[in-house]
Amino acid sequence: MFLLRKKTKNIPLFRSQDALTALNGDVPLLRELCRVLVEDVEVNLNSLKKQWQLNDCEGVLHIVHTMKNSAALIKCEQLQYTCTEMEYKLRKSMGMGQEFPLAITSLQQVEKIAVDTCHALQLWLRQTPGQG
Amino acid sequence: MARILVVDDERMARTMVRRACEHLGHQVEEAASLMEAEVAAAHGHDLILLDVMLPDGDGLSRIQAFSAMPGAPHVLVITGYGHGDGAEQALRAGALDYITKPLYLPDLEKVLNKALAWREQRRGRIRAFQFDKLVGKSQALLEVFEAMGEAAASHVNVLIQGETGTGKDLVAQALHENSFRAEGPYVTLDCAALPPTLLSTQLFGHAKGAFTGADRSREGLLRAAHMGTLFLDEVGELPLEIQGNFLRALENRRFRPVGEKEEVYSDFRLVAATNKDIRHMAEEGLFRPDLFYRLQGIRIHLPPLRERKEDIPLLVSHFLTHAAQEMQTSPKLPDEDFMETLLAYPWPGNIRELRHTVQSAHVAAGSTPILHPHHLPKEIRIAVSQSRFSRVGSYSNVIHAHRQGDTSMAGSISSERSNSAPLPTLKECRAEAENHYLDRLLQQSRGDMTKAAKLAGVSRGHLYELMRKHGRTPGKH
Repeated sequence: MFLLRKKTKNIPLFRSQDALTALNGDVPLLRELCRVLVEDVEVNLNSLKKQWQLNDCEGVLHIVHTMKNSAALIKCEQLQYTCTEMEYKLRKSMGMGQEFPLAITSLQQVEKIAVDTCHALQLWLRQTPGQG
Repeated sequence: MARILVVDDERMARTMVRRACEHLGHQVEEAASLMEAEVAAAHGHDLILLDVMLPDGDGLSRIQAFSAMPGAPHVLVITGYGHGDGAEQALRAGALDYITKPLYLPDLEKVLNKALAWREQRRGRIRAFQFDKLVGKSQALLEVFEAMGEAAASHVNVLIQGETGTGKDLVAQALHENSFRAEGPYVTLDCAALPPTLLSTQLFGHAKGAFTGADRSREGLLRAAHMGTLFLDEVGELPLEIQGNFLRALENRRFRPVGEKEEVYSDFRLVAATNKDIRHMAEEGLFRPDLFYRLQGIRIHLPPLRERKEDIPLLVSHFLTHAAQEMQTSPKLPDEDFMETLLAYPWPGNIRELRHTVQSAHVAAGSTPILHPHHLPKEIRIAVSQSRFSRVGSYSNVIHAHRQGDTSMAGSISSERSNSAPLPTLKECRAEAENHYLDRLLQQSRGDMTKAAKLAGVSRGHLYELMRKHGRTPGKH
């Protein structure tokens, strides 16, 4: 695990070409994965808010970890990096026995980037015709 | 077409694995949690792709359980961490390989192809191997069959290691009968059975008049094994003074019988067996290291019966059939309690002891068609009841039993305990288990906190916190 020092605004929301390379150029698969991510983001953000309110560090960590992996799969890099950083902070603080380390601004940041990512994916889905 | 189960709570990862599997022409099932996976795995699969961080637990802790499910699937771990520790833990836990996230479709397909090709090759080796005296279908025995298949197909020396009574001689015989030398002689020698001087002449042979009493020449077992297999049982007992000559014979396939001038050639294949730790003996100077290295071209480790208890019912049935045939009686059937007693016994004498026990129970049962526990030797019944009693009273044992999947033990302890003593609170029970765990953890890690944290799968901070909670100080162990 590594702590990122980059500013997220310099990182692209969605690298569609890299995502296609990682999927062997399979456009229908990328379209399917984009749709799944958009659907899951809404569910994950709701769960994240609930766990946050309950101060459930483990629960928050699990959702952030899931979002990070999903984002990484199709190169939604800004979301991936934000979640990676948040996961790192959570793990570090849990290891030190702290109760709950993150400010609400972190949650708001993840939420904002997740929504922006979904918009970028939806735009790509509209611009890229489906096959079959 | 292979049957593949993907266990991952991330829908995107499951979607991608599904696409990869379907693209390769395989059948896929999906599970989003360990609980779902346990239900699905009962259908039988060739491969299970298992995520580590699942909502209801750690995938790594279930690798062995999944490997023992129908179809004896191989497990590929999908780790989201991507560093050495996760991979090492996965392989140590018995995974065939690991894949790091984020997944790349081309890499994923390569790993799947490689794993399935390996599995097919392994099946071929096991299928090609014929020997009906080795009974069992446990994962541990399948691994032995696989190593045997590999050994039978090659010419290299084989070292069979295992406790007494695990069937080393049967494995050696099976190797010979399934090897290219099956038509040649199979010569055996128990190194523990003869004094050193006699052992030397037995192995190398001697000329007429080579020593007092040598009224005729003797060929020797190395020569007798020409074009066949020489099985040296208890090779750890081979005296040091003979080991040098034997090493030379092993390397050159040439040796000089006692009292002969000319060297003799013999093309033999060596299979050696031991219940001793020869590596340790070599380190202690009790066995020649160079000979040790020459012996272990292929090593086959025979697991003790207590590590493959799932084979006991099959073995019992096999021995009962044989006993009935030998005694020309009708076959007897074990009742549930009889089998439970056998399963609870640790079998220090392994399969040999089980065979004798079943035979004696068969005799003790007389004309009764069903075998009950009272037909078993008294010592076995006493040992089993003692071990049951000694296990009662320790809650940490209950937890251990649950973790090992030994629900019968855990259940019996719980029920006996509940009848005889007041139930402690959950907090007390948890504290005792944590204390017990810390004892073992710190003992195994020798007080090294980094190592301990790694073993426990928690951060060092978390471990320090736990130690503080139980009033322990790092470094005082």
